[in-house]
Amino acid sequence: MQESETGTRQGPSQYLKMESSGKKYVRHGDLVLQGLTKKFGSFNAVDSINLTVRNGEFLTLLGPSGSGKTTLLMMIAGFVDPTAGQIILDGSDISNLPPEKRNFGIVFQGYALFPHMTVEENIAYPLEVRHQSRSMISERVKEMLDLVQLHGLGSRYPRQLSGGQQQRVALARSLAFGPRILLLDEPLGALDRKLRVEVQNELKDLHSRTGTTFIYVTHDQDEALSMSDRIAIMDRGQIVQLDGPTALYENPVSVFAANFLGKSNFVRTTIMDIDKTGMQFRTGDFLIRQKIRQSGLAIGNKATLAIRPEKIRILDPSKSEKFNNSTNAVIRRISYFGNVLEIELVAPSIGEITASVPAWQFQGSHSPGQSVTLCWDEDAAVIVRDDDAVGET
Amino acid sequence: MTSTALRRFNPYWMLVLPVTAAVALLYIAPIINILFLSVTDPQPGLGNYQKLVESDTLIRLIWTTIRVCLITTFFAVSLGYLVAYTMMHALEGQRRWMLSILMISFWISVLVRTFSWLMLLGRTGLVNETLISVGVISDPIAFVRNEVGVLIGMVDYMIPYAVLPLLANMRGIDPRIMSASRSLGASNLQTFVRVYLPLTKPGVIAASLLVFISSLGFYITPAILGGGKVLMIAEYISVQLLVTVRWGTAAMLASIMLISVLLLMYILNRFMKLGTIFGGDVR
Repeated sequence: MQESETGTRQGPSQYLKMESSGKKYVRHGDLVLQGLTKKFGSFNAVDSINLTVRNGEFLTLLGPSGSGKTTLLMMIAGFVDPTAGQIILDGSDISNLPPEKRNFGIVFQGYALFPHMTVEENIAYPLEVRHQSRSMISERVKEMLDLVQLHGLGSRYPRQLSGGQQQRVALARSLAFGPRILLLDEPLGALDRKLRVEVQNELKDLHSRTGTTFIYVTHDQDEALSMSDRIAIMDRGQIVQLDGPTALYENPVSVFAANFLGKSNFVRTTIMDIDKTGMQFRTGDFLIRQKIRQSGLAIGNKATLAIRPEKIRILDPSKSEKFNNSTNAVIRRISYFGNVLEIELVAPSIGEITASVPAWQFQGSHSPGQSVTLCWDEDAAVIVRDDDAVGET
Repeated sequence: MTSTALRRFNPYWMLVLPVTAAVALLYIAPIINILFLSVTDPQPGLGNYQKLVESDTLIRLIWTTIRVCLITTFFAVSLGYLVAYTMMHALEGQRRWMLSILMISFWISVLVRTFSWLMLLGRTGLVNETLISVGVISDPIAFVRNEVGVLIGMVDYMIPYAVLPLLANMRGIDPRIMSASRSLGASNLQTFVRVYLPLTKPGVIAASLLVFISSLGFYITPAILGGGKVLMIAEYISVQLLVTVRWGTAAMLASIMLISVLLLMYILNRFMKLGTIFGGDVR
């Protein structure tokens, strides 16, 4: 699989600068994973992962269940022994350090609060096992309760709190001792949809206020996109792509990445022409022109284009001026999602295509069976690796 | 009025009526009869209960019973905690094996197990013979026919009773809570003392009460392994009934036992629903 940092095409400026100034430059506080592998029998749950988590960043491990993201997180936490590879923090290998010596906070799925302790006692726990002074502990507990806005609930027991409040206690507890890194394992899984968005904002806020490195595991693309500085998309134990949310969404490297983060249409084509400003592709007798410059491709190669549904435009064929990349299609089905309409089309030249258009603009103006023209801009498509088709680039 | 009474009457009660009647006639009636005997035999009044404070024999008897039961409870629950803890942390296959062994010992008759201890620990038993032939000791150690023998036999018999409620309790604890403790900087030992032990407190209390209650009525084990030197309440009752024929005293002791058992059961039920103790329904 292609590893990540070299694949960065665009991203938050700080990382761009950092990575162009020297690929292997490691700052103080960066967590470096080298060839990290976990095998269960002959099954590679995590398959030689190389990854540098920058100090202070919000990194999300995004992948379907079974992609190895939780195993990777538990290896970083120290609960799963790696089969091979190293975890390096500030120049020393911590792979053999027990979890309690790593100083990483963890927010578990289901929070794992101590049910026999009050909120205050939960938050004080990491300080007590570190033998801090009484006065320091009570001050810090107060500080943490303020940080997660739970003042006044300190003497309650976890079972007397709502899911969202328990979530915040778990956060306060794992941040109370000033951890080097905070690891979060699908912490929003148990919350309902509306609360989830609220806690997402709080998490982001908390991240910027504390400046702690967050490593966040989820299978939810919305959570990943809205909170992360960088996202690592994982599949079958490997990192498929690592980049900022915008870059990942705009430039997926593979069919899997394009499909897992958002939806995408795929058009399988042959390269007809390459010039300074872009390339020309052909599928059937449909010619597609894109402003893509990518090395390693030659005329005659096969290429799979990925086009996001919202970049497909639907035009009335009667007043169709000659747009580039336009072809005839018939509407097969329209699904209403409140904010958008998803229009499934069949184009004779390229097969099935889904377009996503603002509902307020298109409501009622189209119906199944109607003939239309669809087109997309010259910068709308990207070339992706087709995992299913062997022998193609 | 008759219509509401009729509506309240559920005809399905008729189905359990024969069984209810049998229980009432054969079980509840004799119990009431015993309670009755304790205040009427040999003459009406609380004379039988007065003996509890007057008779040295009875005071010593009750003290012995309580002491033996407390020591048994302590060791059975401590050892049972170790067994349950090990079972929780064993692999699935090993856990099944351990549970089968536990259940088999649970089902073997108390008589058989008591005699096995006699064979093992007697003056010419396996343990003493081995120790003498190896040369560790020259005279056999008196393991049985004393209080130590009774305790060994009772603790052994009671361990499964301690393990089952503890297992039910431990199964209900989310293992992530212990992981959370480790991640917060607590060592394995700190995690055990500050998190695991408090969370298993209901299980320990339930196991202790269950073992204590069951120990109170022990008859065969003290009789055989105690060699007549360790007199516990159940054996004394039997002697009063069959040998000295003082039914009033026997009935009084039985009543005392019944009341204390019911009281302890009530406390036990507050800590753990009785149905969950034998692991049938963990939730």
